Amino acid sequence: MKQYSTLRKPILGTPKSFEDVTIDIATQLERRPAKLWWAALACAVCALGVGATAVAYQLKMGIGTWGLNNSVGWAFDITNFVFWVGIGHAGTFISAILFLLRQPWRTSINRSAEAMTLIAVACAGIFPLIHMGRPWLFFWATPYPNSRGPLWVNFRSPLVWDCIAIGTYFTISLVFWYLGLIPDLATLRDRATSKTRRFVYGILSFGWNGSMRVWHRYDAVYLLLAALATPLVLSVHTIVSMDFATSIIPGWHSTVFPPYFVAGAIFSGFAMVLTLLIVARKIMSFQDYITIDHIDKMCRVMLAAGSLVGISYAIEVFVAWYSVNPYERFAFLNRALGPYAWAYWTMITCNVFVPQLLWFRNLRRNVILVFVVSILINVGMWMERFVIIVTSLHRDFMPSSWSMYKPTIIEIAILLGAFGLFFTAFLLFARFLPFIAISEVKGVLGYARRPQERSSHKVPVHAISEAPAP
Amino acid sequence: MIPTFRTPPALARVLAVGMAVGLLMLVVGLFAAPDRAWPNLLISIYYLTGLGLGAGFFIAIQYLSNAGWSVGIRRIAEASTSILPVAAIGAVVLMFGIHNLYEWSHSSLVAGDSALQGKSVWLNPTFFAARIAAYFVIWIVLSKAIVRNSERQDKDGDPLHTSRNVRNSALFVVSGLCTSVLASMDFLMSLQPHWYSTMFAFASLSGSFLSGLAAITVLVVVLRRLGYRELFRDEHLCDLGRLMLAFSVFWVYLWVSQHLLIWYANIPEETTYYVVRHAGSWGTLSVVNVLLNWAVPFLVLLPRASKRSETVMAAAAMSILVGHWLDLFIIVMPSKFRDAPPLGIWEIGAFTGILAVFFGAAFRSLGKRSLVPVGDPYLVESLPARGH
Repeated sequence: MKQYSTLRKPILGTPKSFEDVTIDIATQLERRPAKLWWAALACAVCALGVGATAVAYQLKMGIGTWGLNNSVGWAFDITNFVFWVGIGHAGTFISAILFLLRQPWRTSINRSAEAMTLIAVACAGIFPLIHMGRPWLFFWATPYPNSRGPLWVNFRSPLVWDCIAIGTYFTISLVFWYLGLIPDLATLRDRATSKTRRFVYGILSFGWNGSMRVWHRYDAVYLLLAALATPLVLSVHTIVSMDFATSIIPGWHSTVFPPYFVAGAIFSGFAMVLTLLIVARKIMSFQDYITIDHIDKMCRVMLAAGSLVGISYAIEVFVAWYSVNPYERFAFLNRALGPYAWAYWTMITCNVFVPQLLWFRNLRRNVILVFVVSILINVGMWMERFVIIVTSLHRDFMPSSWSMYKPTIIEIAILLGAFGLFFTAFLLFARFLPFIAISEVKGVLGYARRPQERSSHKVPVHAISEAPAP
Repeated sequence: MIPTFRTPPALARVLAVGMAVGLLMLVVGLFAAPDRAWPNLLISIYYLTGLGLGAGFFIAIQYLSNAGWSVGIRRIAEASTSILPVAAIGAVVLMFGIHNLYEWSHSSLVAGDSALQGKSVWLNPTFFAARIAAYFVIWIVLSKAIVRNSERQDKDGDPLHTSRNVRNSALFVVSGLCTSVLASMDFLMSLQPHWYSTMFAFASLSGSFLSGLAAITVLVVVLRRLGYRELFRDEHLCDLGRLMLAFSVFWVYLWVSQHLLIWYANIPEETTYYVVRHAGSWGTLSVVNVLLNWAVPFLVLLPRASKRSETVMAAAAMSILVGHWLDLFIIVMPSKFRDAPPLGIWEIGAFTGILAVFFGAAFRSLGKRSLVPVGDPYLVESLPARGH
C-alpha cells in the first residue's frame, strides 16, 4: 500500500464515497438550469451578438473599419489573438504536464480548464481569420497540392508555422479532453432517465462498458496523449512568439521570446482558470472538490510563472541597455516613458507587483483577494501583448513614419464578442458536460486518507489502494 | 539504522589521482600555456558552479513543490552543493586572469571602442569582482542554510525544519535565479563583449541544471553499486531519468530557439557569434554538442526499461556531463581560438580534474551525515511501499 506523509492532506475537503462523487457532479447536469445561469447566458449571448454584428460590418466594409495605419499594421487583432492563445495554455498544462508530474489535485480542475483551453483557442482563431482580406479563403494558409499553380505557402513564414502549430494543438487538446470525457459520458448515459438523454450520451460515450480491458487501453492512450500534449504546450506559444521575434524590429527581435511567451501564457492561463473556477465552485457548490488548497496550489504555479515573466522583463531591459544599440535602448525607454507609458506601467503593476502578494500563504487562501489578483493578471497580460506589439511599431525607424494607434469602436466590439463567445461556450459546457472529471476524482479519493477515516466514512476499499500512477 | 558511508579506498585513490592531474595541469598550464589554461579554468569553475547550483535548484524545487518522491535522494543533491565553496576558491584565482580572458578589462581597448565605453559602468574589473563575490556569497550561504536545516532534522524530526527550508528554498530560487542569470552573462557572455542575446542566460542555466541532474544520477548509480540499493531505489533512478529526459529536451529547445531566431533575423551583430562556431571543426563540435546533450540522452532514455538500468542511466548521465563541458568549451574558447578548437592535454587534464574534484567533494560530504534524511516527514513517501 502506498504510504503518505502525515503532513499530506486528502484532495477533497470532506471524505466522499464513489457514489457521492457521481451524485455531486452529475446532478448539476440533471436539474433545470438556475435563473442565474440563464441571466449569465443572456449577457454572454448579447455580447456575442454585438461582436458578430461588428464582424459582419467589418467584413462588409473592410479592414479600414479598424484603427490600423501604415506604421501600426498589426495591433488589436493580434493582441487579442495572442491573449486568447495564451489563456489556453493552462488547460493543457494542468491536464498533461501535471499528470506527468503525478499531481493528484489536478483531477478536480483539469476538465474545466481543458474546456476553457479549447474555447480560448477557438476565440483566438477568429482574429487572424477576420484579418484576412477574404476570410472564406482561409484554407489557403495550409499547405496542400492545389490547382493554383500549384502555389505553396511560404514555409519560412512564422505565420504558416502558427497555423500548423495551433491546428495541431487544438486537435490534440480536443482529443485528449474528449478521451477523458468518455467514462464520464458513460456515467451520464447510465444515469439518464429520458430516452433522448440516454441516446445522446450513449452515442457520445462510444459504447463504453467499463471493463478492465477498456480501462487498460484507456490508461495507455491517456498517458501517450499526455506525453504528446506536453511539448505542444511549449511549442504553440514558442511559435506565436516567433511571429514577432523573427523580425528585426527593436522590441520584437529578442531571443528570449520563446520561453518568456510560454511562461506568460501559463501565467495568464492560470489567472483565467482561477477567475472562472472561483465563481464556478461557489455557484455549483463544488467547494469540497475545488478546495482552498487547490486555489493555493494554483496561486503557487501562477507565482512561479509570473516570476519567470518578471525576470524576462528585467533581462530584456538590461540587455537593451547592455547592447549599447540606440534603437534597442530607445524601444525600451519609449515603452516606459513614451505615449504608451500608461499601458507599460499597467502591465508592470499587474504582472510584476500584484503577484508578489501570492508569496503569503494567508493571501493565497483568501478567495476574494485571489479573484481580484487573477483579474488584474488577466488585464496585465492583455496589456503586455498590446505593449509589445503597438509600442514597437508606432515608432518606426524614420520619425516621419511615427504614428499612434487607437482601437475603433468596431475593434472593441469584436473583443467584446470574443468574450461573449468564450462565456457562452463555457456556460454551455457547464450545463451539458461534467464540470469535474468524475472518474479521475474517484481515483484519488483514498489519497492521504487515514485508515480510520476510510472505515468510518464509507470510502470503498478499492478506492484506497492507490492514486493513479502515470 | 542507516550505515555511515565511507568512500571505498580504491575509489578514493582514483579520485586523488584525478585531482592531482587536474591541479598539475592547471598550475603548469598557467605558466606554460596561459592562453589555454585561463579559459580552461573559467570553464572548470563555471562547470563546477553549475553542478552545485543545479543540485541547489533541484533541492529547492523539491521543497517548494512539497515533493515526496525525492526525499530519499536529497542527501545526494545536498552533497553536490558542497562543491560551491571549491568553485568559489577557483573564482578567486580566476580574478588574476581576467586580463587574459576579457577584452573589456583592458582600459586601453575600451578607450577606443564606443560600444565598450557604453557598458563600462557594468563591465569593469572592480565591479566584476565584487559581483562575482556577491553571487558566491548568496549561493553558498543559502545552500548551506538549507543543508544545515535538513541535517538538524535528522536529530529531532521536527517538521518545522521543513517549513523553514521551504522559506529558504523560495529565497534560494529567487535570488539564485537572478544571480545566476547575471553570472552567466558576466562569466560567459562578456567574453564577446559586443555580442548579446536575451536568451543566453536561460540557455546556459538549463545546461547547468541538466548537468546537475546528471551528476546526481551518477552519484546514485555509484552508491547503488556500492550496495545501497535498498535506499536508492529503482523508482528514484527512473524519476531521475524522466527529469533528465525532460530537461535534455528543454536544453535543446532553448538552444534551437536562440539559434533559429539569430539565424532568421540575420543581423550581423548577432550572427558573428554563430559564424565562428559553425566553421570548420567548431561546426563539427557544435553538432556533437547537440548529440551529447540531447540526441543521445533523448533516444536512450525514452524506453521505460532503460530508466531502470544502472548502466544505461550512467551512460546517459555521462553523455550529458561530457556534453555540458563541451557546451561550455564551445561558448568560451572561440573568443580566443577562432580558427580551430584547441583540444589537447590541457583541456583533458582540466576536465579530468573537475570531475575528480566534484566527486571527491560529494563523497566526502556524503560521509559526514546519514545517507538519507531520516527525520524528514516526507521520507516515508520515498521508501519502498509497505504492507499488503
